Amino acid sequence: MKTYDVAIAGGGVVGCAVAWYLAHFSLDVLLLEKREDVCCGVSKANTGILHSRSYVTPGTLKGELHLRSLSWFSQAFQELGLKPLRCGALTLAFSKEEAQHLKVLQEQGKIEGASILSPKEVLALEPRLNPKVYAGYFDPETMVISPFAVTIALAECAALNGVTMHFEKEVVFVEASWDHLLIHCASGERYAAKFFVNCAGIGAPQLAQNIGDVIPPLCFFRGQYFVLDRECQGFVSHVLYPVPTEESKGILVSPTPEGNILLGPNFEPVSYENTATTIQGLEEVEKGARKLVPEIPLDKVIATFSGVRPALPKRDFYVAFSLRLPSVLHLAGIESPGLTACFGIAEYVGELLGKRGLPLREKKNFQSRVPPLVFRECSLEERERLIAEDPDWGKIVCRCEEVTLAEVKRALRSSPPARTLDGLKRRTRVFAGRCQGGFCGMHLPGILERECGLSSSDIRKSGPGSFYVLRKGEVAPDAKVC
Amino acid sequence: MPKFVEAEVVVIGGGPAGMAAALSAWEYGMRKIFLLERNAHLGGILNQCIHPGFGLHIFGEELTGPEYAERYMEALGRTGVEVLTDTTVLEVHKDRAVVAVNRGGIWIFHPQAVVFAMGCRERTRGMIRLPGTRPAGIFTAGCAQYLVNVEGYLPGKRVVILGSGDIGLIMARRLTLEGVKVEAVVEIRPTLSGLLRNYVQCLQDFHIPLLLSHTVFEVLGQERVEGVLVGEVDAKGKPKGRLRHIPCDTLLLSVGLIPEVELLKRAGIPLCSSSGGPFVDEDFACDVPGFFACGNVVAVFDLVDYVTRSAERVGKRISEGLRDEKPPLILVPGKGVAAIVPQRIRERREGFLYVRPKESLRKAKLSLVQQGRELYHVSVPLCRPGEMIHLEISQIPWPKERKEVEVVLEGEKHVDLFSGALYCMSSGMSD
Amino acid sequence: MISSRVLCIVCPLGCQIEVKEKDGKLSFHGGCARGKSYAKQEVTYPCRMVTTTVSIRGGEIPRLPVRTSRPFPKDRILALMEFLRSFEVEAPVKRGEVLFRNLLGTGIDLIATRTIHRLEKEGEDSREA
Repeated sequence: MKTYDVAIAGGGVVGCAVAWYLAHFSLDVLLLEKREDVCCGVSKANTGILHSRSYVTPGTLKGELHLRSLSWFSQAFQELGLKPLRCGALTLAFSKEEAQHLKVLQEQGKIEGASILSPKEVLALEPRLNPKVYAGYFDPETMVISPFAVTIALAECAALNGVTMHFEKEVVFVEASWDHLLIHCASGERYAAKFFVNCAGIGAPQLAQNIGDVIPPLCFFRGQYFVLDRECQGFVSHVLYPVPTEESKGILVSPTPEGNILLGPNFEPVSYENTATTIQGLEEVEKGARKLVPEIPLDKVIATFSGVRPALPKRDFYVAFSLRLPSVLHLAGIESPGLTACFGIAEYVGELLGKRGLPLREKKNFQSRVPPLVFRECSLEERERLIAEDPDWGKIVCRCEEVTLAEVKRALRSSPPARTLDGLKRRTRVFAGRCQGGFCGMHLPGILERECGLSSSDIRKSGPGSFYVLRKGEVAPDAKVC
Repeated sequence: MPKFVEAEVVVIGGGPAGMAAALSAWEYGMRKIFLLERNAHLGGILNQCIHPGFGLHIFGEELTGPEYAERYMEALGRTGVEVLTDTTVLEVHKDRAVVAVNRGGIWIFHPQAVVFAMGCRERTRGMIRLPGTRPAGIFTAGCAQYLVNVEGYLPGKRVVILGSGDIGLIMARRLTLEGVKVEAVVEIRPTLSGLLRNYVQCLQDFHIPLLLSHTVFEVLGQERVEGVLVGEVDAKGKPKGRLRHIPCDTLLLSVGLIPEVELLKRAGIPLCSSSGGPFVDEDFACDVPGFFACGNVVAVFDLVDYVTRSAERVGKRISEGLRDEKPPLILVPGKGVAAIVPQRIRERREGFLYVRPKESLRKAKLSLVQQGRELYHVSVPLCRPGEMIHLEISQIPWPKERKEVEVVLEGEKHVDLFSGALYCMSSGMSD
Repeated sequence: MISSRVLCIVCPLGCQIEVKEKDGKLSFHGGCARGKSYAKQEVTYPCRMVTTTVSIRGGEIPRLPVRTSRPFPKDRILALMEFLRSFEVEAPVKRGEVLFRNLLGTGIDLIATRTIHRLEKEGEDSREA
């Protein structure tokens, strides 16, 4: 059995960031993910905001790693081939008391170009804002990015630089064996590694407990969202925050790099990882969004979803070595701003492992990820050239997001590959447009079977059991005619 | 470099509207006509509508969708209309440049006339804000219809259908015939949305329960749909009484169609909020000269025959070329009317005026009113929102005065046979 | 005496017609003359046009839509579906072609409702439906 230098459990944004960071060094790294793809848990459903220095929580590990991550941004985005939407943010106060908080944000950020604005100035920047606004804090450094894009880019860049990834491998137990760790998966496989990083997200406390460590149990806070049609692009052009509360950053209105507008999240405790949307929750989001932008076009909703924040009671990140096995590191409670902080978390994990003896010798030949071409973003000349090279660039399979067959095929071949319809959606945006699969959902199964060599039973939305369609004849008739 | 193509007419969409529009342009002497279709075959939605019921008005016989479509394909084959399949239009510009893509590359057409014939699309789960989890197994009815009838797949084994529109009813029968168990058709309104005939032949024939004044309040299941929570709604759409759990692995949505107008928006064509499509005149010309729209992109028609008829009107006008138009007479929906097509009347004064009633009425009167003066009226014994009323435009004494004409529908409120709980059959569903 | 109700679909009015049977004689209550004759058909020998798809080998698309040549006895529709489950044809097929005569001994035929050409080469663009 091969002994890896580091094994990571969890292919969310944190696990992938750790893999990507460690891929900069001459190490054998293994990533084990319980689901069929990366970005299937907490990482898949959040606002995608890269919070600036103003929103750092002082005196916490969360704040420290957030700050660290900010200094990674330019290098990371360049290496990962990511282009965040540099839209800036406005935090809006609706009373004198709330306005006090804006000063705190300004003070904390000390960001060049940031300022506190009068209602008139705020409305000049965002004419559709609630005119009752009392004051606004403009922060030019807040950015927005697709959470899928970050996690997938991290995974692809890690894989490109030699990280091994195995899917449908849920780590259930880790034990010391001679001079290394033996990592047991639910499916029976075992892997050997010198170090183990528990980035299992919602599953992290249970895994820690199996190893014999105690992490306080997670509390779950659900947040529900609306996604508005791309047609609404430009309706607002900044991330719009209310003044944050102790609990959360509040219900916000945010543009996305894809051109949609996102509304949410609300904040509600749930007893388990419950990602259902509810009538009440969506009404709350609607109310919150209307408070900021009264005319927000809710008739242009194309989808609703919800995400769960896995928080610890102290509302801080938990990063600590196991008390049982000194080469096992646990991470838990990575909630907002986990996406923003992921590079800082990864670097911190690297440092901690280094201190325990992981040799960090930087690779000379680290490769940056070349992001896949997106038909919709190409000029007519580029499109023409692409189609001449490969006619699949001329076959549109998703008309809402203008995704071509070539992009679908690329996603199926990428490393790690899309193995489900959700995986295809997160990589190419099929199923993510205004028809929500009404059109591509008819044509994709046939295309996947005929052009990509899949069989209908391989076509799943996500995990096992999430079959998309059945073949005729798989169903026994039991209907009766009167 | 993209390929520039000179053309007289470009028709976008090769369904019933697009095929009839291209034929009409050919008949009126246009010769450089391109018909662009994004799928591999002409026919559009007709190819998946394998049930009968098409063509009674146009051919005087009942055809299935594919049969109806093929008649037009054959007619097109006898013309010099250039058909490009597997070709998707990406943009239409204000100067009528049409940018399209296919496996041969990027094509830019510069026609004298652009005909929009993209049809409509289905309302989605997001649009009706259906709460719950997001598992596999939620399909719009038309998507499922394609998967079953063209590809030979089945969407699942136990199905609940939300919405009693015709596609939903027809899919209930279709799936039952294929051995799928249809647990119920759930309709939020107190009345059936589709045709009575489809209720009898699609639901009654197979003992499929129809739950009126009911809706789905939650989708259950993590990976695949495991069930839905269904309950009665009060007049305001709020839940009333207990919710019941109907186990199923599939939810089909038949919750309405909307014209697919994205290309028109980019081209700056004015749109009508009541029909959802562009404003058109009796020749189905849009408010911007050189642009035409026909079929379901204008308004969702009940019958394909109406779609064809609308498209057959464009050729003559296209052949007359671009010209400065006098301001048209403007028609607006008034009391009792949900939408009208066309919304403008010019000199031709031919074709049909389609009126979509807001509610079911009996002993109704449909009248055209200008500045409080009634111009014309007809009596309508019975009308329902699911069935458009059509009037011959030539029969109406149009005024010289260019002031707005209101289309009004008044009558006795018709208590539909389907109101109340008459047809709320119970089944072996668990609470 | 047996009585049943028929929901008339001859016109959009949707009348309820009550059908009573006494000593082998049927009587109809409600509805117009056309409605009564529809109701009679419905209680004596209800038939429906059946449309479905069958497998097609070597065609540009995997399913061939078909219909019955005339309305088919309602109580035998599921038997017909069962029969068609294993029914397969070979491309090409022309619209209107009779694919099978005398389905289940009814004298009713199976008709193709779409023309499907033979797929000449593997991997052609036209394979996508």
